[in-house]
Amino acid sequence: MKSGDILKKAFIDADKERLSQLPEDDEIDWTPSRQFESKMGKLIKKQNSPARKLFNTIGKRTAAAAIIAAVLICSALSVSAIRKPVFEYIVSVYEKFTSFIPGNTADTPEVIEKYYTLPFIPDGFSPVSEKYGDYVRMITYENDTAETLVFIQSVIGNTEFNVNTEGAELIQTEVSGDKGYYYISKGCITLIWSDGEYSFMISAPDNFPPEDMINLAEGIKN
Amino acid sequence: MISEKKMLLFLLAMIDGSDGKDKLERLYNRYKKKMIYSAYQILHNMYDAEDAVSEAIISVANNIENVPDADTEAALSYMCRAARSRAINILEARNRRKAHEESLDSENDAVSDETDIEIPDTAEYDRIVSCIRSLPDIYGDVLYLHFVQNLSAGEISVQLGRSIHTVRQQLVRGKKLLTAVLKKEGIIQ
Repeated sequence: MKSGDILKKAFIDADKERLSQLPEDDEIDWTPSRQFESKMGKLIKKQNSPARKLFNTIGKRTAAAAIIAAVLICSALSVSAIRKPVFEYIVSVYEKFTSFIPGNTADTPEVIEKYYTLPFIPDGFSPVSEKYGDYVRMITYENDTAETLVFIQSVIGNTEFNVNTEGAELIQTEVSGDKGYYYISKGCITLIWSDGEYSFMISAPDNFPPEDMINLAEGIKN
Repeated sequence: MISEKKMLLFLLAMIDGSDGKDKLERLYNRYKKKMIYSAYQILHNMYDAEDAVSEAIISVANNIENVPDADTEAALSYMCRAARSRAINILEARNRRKAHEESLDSENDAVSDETDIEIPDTAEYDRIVSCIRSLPDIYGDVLYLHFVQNLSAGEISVQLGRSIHTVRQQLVRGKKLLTAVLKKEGIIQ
């Protein structure tokens, strides 16, 4: 065995020996101070997820929202984070995907400060999950046939996200005067828009008329 | 469709933070007493030990994705090392001017931490373990992370809450000390 391997094994065994000599919990006489308990309680409550490391920039967090959307909207999606902010969404259509680069991110909230909801739930759908986060909020609805409707709100951040729109036509539209885009692909219709404060996505079965989708989007309220 | 849903749940778990929170809570509740004990062994003061543990928990929280799952020996090892390390840091801060490492000859601090320790095949393994057990925690933990987890000085500095410069010094001094102990025991020449 090499010296390095011997030392490695010896350090592991030394550590095991040390741990084996620790007293059992009931043998440790310690009553936490009130301050300590309070501090620990707050700390645990504040604990951030691995996502805070993984998605440790607003851009990456927004990208995470895009990934989620992609999973739900049946579209493959690749993400490349961080682009210098320009102004509003810059949309580039490529052969197999469409790139959305959020533009002017100045003065946009770094975390979600107000949560939006859909004005009504389409017939037959009911909420099955609701996830809140500082950067992304997502509500999922399902109907009896397991079709999914998803509403996502996220901070704008400075992220480029690429949506697989291969074979799908990307149609520009307006949502309450703001520019939006929708496309139909793989059984889903997806609408993406931003009100300049947050990014939004609604994804629904492709039998949803685009007009209904846009009405839904225009009615979101906080 | 199922796999998509699983993927979705995975992504959402990462975003909403519940996994990290639950993991931290489990780790804390499972090991807090042993962490306090480990810190107290160094500081001999319960309030200081609580400070050390709270600092350790903060470091664990910041590094939660790299912490082994609760209820594993690796997690116990990690949590106790975190507590010991913060206790040592508190002790060092308190006794900065008279820290025992200052008494070590610093002439050789420039020695690379790549210095090898050659262990002959004929060495008695239990005695090597015993030599390692005799190392002060301040070096033992650094060397453990170096030899066992193969972490860089930078990674060790993050895990133990020490500066990278300090970690580099401690790697050099720890190896030097271990070499000295192994020589004294006749394990190496």
